[in-house]
Amino acid sequence: MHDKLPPGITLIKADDFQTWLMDIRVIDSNPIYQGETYRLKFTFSPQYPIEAPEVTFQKTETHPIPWHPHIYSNGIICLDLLDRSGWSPVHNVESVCVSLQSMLTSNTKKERPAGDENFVRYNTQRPRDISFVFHDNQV
Amino acid sequence: MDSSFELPDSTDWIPTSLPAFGPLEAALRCEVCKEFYNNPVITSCNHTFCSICIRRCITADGKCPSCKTGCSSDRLAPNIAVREVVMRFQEARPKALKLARAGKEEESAKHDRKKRKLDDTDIEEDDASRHTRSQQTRSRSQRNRGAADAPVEVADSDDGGDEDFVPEGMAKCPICSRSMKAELVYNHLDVCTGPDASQGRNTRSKAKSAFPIALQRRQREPSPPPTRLSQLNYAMLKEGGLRKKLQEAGIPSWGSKDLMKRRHVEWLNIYNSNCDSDDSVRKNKRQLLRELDEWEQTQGGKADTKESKIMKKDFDGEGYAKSHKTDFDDLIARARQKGATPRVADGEDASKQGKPLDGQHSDPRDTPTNPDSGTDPPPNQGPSNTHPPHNTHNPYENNESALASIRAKVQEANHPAFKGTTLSSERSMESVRQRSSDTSESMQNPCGAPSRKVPMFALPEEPLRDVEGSTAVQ
Repeated sequence: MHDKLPPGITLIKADDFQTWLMDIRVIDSNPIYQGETYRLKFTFSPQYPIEAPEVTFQKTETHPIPWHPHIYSNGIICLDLLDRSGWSPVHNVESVCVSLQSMLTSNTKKERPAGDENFVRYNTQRPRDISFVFHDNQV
Repeated sequence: MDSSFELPDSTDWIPTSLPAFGPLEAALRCEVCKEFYNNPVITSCNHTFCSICIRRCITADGKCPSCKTGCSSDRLAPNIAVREVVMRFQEARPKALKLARAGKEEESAKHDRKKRKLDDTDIEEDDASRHTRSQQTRSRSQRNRGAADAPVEVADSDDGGDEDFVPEGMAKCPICSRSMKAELVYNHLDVCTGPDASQGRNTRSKAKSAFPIALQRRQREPSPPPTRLSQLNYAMLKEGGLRKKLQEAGIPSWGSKDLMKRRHVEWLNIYNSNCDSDDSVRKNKRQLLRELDEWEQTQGGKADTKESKIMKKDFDGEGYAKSHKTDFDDLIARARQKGATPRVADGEDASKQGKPLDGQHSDPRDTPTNPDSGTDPPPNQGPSNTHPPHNTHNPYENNESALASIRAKVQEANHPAFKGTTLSSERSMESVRQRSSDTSESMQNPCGAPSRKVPMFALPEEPLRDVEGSTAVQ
């Protein structure tokens, strides 16, 4: 299905319909993300595509968590597209990757979200159960 | 992924001589499920989706997936033109794809010939190794060659081919193997005329089996478009009322109110999307019930959720015990071994403090965690297993009353093999009997009991009355 992926997006693992791994790079010359590749983990529920997949960045030796004011240092992404309210079944793995790419591209601040440390330490919820407040329309 | 697991996709066109067909095909696929439109319907915001897809989306959030405007399922209308186009495209696809691939091969062959001279087979190999994808898909197109003119999707192909499928709440008549509601089988058996009377008829409800054959045949003819079912007001319905509604609709009615509600919503989606289909491919209720059963397996009450199934109310304890029998056996055997080891040392003490009470030997034996059974051979090893005899001996030393009562018990326990035997050596015979009765008991009920009657790690209720004074062990 995703044989011809847009530049900067690579399919790493898609053995089943539960978990997929994708690598994304930022194509243009944004200094924050220069030369880095980020690994995304997609977790699908049986209700997919009616329900949004769970998408997080995965930290490995070669794949850091990108700096972004809406990406927590544990890889959880605050993006309305991935939330229940913002998700639409017409999205797919490719379109989510492209959205994340553009979200990174347009970012100029090398920082973590406010309260990152607390959130990372105390969060035990799965991303889909967290109720994010979407306040920033710039992203 | 398995190489046999090939799916037609719009990207199939990319390596061919007709790459422009890729977007064309993509336009004929539903944006939600990415398949070719199946019973396409158009929304009030003029977007087209498969009927089942948009109905499920509306159930989830009431919005159009494309433009996020509000949508309601009763304003969906079949998009007949798209349905026709998709059907014709699918019919033409295999042949067109084959031609497009052949065209590409020719092009590259020409290209190659400029560089070096090759015979035809070489060209093919060369081409194939370069375009692994085209190689993969070519094999499919070759497979399809014979049926190139036939539609790709054979509608209703499984109609009648699934005689074994019995929908929830239905049962098969053992004589004519018609399926009907379970509670009607007995009444039906009185009037069943045997397998010949209705052979071949794909009856699926009791109402129809009661009709004469002439009337049943009418079902086969194209029926007028069925009317769509309307939503229920679930908030107004009590659990019992909803259950009744589900029964009336002929769908499974077990589970909590929430599950029944979800099931009914899904049933409406399946049923109503079938109403949007073309007459020629409209499915019968049996097939729809099968689809509902599929939903039940994946997303409904039978879904394999990650939450612990054991904690659920409707957990099938017996089935679980059966399927994990070997594990349980293993654990029990190990627990017994452990239990037996310390007793060897404490045997002397136990014999003195353990004061057996008449008539209570059999009770602790029933409880699976009974430490008494620590000396039993595991059921699979059989009674011939050697085991330290003094374990069973010691407690009965100097205790003739206990021995007498055990003998009585053993006589009761119906062991004809031992009945006529004279007890030349009381002690050893006793141990044999004790063992054999224990063994036979664990044979009859090797493992079923432990998981259900008593929690594995809970203390048995009457451990202290054990004849062997197992208090020392515990």
